[in-house]
Amino acid sequence: MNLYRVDADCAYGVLPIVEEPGLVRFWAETAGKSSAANWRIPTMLVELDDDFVPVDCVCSATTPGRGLLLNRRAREALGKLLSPCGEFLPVRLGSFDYQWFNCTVEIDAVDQEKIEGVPAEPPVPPRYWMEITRWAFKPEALTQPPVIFGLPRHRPVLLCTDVLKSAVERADLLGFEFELLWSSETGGVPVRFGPPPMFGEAARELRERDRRKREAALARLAQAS
Amino acid sequence: MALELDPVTTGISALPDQDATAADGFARALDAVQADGQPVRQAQLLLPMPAAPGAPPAFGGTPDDAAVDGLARSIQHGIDSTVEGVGNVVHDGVEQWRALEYRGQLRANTLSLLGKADPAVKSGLNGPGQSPLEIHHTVPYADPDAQRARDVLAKWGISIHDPADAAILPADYHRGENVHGMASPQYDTWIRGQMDLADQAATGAAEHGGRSAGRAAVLSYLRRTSDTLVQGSGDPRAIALAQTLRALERPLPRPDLSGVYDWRGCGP
Repeated sequence: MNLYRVDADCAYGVLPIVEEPGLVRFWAETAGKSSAANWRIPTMLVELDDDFVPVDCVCSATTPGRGLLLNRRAREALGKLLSPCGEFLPVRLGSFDYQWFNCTVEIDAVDQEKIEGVPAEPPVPPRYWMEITRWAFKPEALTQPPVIFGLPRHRPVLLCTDVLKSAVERADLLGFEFELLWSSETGGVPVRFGPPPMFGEAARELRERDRRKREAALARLAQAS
Repeated sequence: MALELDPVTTGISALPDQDATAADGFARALDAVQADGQPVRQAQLLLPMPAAPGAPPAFGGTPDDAAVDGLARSIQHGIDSTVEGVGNVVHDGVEQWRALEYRGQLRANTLSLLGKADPAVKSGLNGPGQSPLEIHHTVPYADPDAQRARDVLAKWGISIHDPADAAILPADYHRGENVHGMASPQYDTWIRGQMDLADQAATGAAEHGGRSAGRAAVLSYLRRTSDTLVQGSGDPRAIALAQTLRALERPLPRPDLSGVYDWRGCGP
């Protein structure tokens, strides 16, 4: 079994949301907790720029971790898999209707003895990490893992198994990013910590790669319509 | 350089002439007045009107380091500085100068600290014959994509101009097609993730040590994030200065700005 970090691929641009400040707070406070009962559908204004492509899973500047913004196509393809692990909350983003998949399942599966990185300093209590360069998980906590779940003390991280990754690939959904963190056979893989390349050739390559992705996505969307 | 002094309000207005950028003029005017021992409490930089709507303001182009120095110096002297256009300064110009004020605030706070270790640093980061260094806001002060990260700072009462948010970077790394020019959504995503982690750690710390422990936690995450940027530049002088800065700032008491800080995080 493999564990991946799953997130929206911001190569397709970030949905710039112009919202009330209170909405940001509300959004953040509901993350990771069951919120369907109190949910009011937020209508957010967006200012689209040339770099944004409305792919199946979009990156937003204001959504907190432990969630994915999915369009109807992604919801239909993944709904049955994801529903047991969280809730779909409708969000209206400008002219786009998205569903925020709010993952409410959390598993304390991190092996604190074997994880590699920089632990947080006091006064932060133990088991918080500033920087992780190699993840380690307890196999016994993952005998029947859900397809997607969060971790205590690591809110920005949303993990998934091969089941979700394969479903995304089978449905040919765009906008997901999977980063392999750990395999039950080989353990944790080295993880790069730090900002993206911001200088010189590496930064140019990143920008060029993002541009190519956006162009391919736009071509596919044009074909579909 | 046209310099107007108002003895009643002890204010200063600096208007650039053709030989000097507004920035240079502002900095030199402040120096002149400070040297005279006059108690300047307000400083205003007056910008000339742009040549045409949409044209860049005719004050010498992009705000440069001299402008930031001028503002930083005035802030250090406790002068309430404003930069205002005369007439219809184009929107971009106003925004540019507002951004400049933010840069000036962080620079002033950082230079104040560094100056305690080395008075030569206080006047700026660019000594003779050295490549210029600049101070970058790790959590961006205005970028809408960084709102979540600013919210975390605001929640824990930390100023966006706190030296913990300062990343000392070589100018050619900071500007142009680099940190800012290459600004990618991946950068904002990384910063947002770091501040989310910080928020969670702060909540854990606050359960045991109260709110001040929570704030200390966010500051430590912020410092680490800033220093990661500095390390990434590979500039030995920047790295050494960042280490000095961190050694100096740890014991500093910081005012809790909770409730004072604007939720959008752009300033009190």
